[in-house]
Amino acid sequence: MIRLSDEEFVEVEIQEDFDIIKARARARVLAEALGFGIVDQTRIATAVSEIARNALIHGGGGKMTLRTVKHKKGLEIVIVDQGPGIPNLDRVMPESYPRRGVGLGLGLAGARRLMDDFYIESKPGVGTKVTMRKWLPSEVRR
Amino acid sequence: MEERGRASILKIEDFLLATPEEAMHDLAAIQFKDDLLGRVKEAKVNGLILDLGRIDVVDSFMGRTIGEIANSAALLGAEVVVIGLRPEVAITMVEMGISLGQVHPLLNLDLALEFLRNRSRGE
Repeated sequence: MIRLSDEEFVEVEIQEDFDIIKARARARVLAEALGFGIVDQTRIATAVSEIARNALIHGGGGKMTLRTVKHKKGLEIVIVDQGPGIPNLDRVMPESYPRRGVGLGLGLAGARRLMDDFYIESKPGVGTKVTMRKWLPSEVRR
Repeated sequence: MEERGRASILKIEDFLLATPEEAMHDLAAIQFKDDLLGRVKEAKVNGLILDLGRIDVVDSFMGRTIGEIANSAALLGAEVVVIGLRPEVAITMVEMGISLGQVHPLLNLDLALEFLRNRSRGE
């Protein structure tokens, strides 16, 4: 197992298909090192895969930043792109009916369900920033 | 970590066994789908077994691709059986709302072969 400092910090550029796999593999490694079990590792890797793909396809590429938060009690993932933004965020990702989404919304809604915290900011012409966190179950917190 | 999306496709009895060897990026998954459906048609098989035991992430894109393989294979007259799905992957798929289309999920290769043999005898 990797020995972690209090503030681990990893950046992955997302510029091509293969970078999606790289991003989710890096997230999984850090999640495992933090003590997340196999199911949470898979939830995190899958959520990263969805959001990284959105950044690549809809945002024309972007960057993922992974960091440990609250003294290693959780993992924060930020994925940003400088794409056209999502003008109709409410429609692709309705708050009222989070179990379904269409197209872009399917991945966003799915990723939101897999993580504990999920925030999305999008400005037309500026880009999109997705911040998501997963907290360790209390019994494995040290 | 070098992952390029290799997959093996073998003929067993009257069926094909397709095994992605590692994580597949999106283009590799599309290539895999095209190759596999070509083989289903060419080999005139009536069953396709997809072994997903080495796949550690099924996201919405991968789920859709597997679903497209299953539905297209069905149009070509082949039953599709999925084996080896990891429990953590199954849990995540259900939580995300991903379903795979017209596939029969079974635990292992023996059960898949038995299922497909019975299906082909019944026709």
